[in-house]
Amino acid sequence: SPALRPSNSMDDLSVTAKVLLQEYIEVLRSKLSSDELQQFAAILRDYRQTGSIKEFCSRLQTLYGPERKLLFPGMRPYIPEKDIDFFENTLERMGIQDAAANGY
Amino acid sequence: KGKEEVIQVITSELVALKESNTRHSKPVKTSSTQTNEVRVKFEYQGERRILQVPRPLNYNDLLTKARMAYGVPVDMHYTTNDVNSNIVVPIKSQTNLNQAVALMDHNPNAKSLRVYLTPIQTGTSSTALTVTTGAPHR
Repeated sequence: SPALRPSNSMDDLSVTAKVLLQEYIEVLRSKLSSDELQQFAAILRDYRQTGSIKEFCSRLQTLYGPERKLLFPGMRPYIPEKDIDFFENTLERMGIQDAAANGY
Repeated sequence: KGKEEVIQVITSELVALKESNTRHSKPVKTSSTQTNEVRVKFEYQGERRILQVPRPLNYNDLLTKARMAYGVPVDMHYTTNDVNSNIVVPIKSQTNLNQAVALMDHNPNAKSLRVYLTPIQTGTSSTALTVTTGAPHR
């Protein structure tokens, strides 16, 4: 389907979006091992292709584990509008309070 | 180097998600009039949160949700998407809220109840309808 192919550049993103993305990438780089980064890439790809937010959240929870659950809010700008309720609820269930504060 | 390649893949996937998000968010139209839930879009100082709230909407519940979402006491206002005359109507009671929901239901272009939040104002009685020009945010 259209618009689902990964883009190789960040040209289309706003400056804010780029900064957020770069920051998140750096956080991931520092918190995840090479193997985990590979898993993260696979989880992202599956989510983009299947659109299953439920599976996405559950696999991410497994990958991050409780000690790295604060990696979740950084994902928020990339969650499609239709899935944001589920995502927010997942954050709440995990006890991540400041999800909104990291939104933009 | 393998790790850098993976980072590149992750970057591309995130960009793609972001792009598909902005491209698809408008055409996907789910009429709120046909569901028994209302999609409420809060906006406070440029920061948005969206939640599904079952009908009928309760004024006190919604106010509590708004205050909990941002952690500060807030006043609620109903706004429309119309860029030319942006109407901001204070929601001060259950009646106001019912009217806001009715307005949204009668607007075929509205897919959500847009609630613009401001820091709580004490001592002012701003129950009158105010009409401003330009977007209330940013």
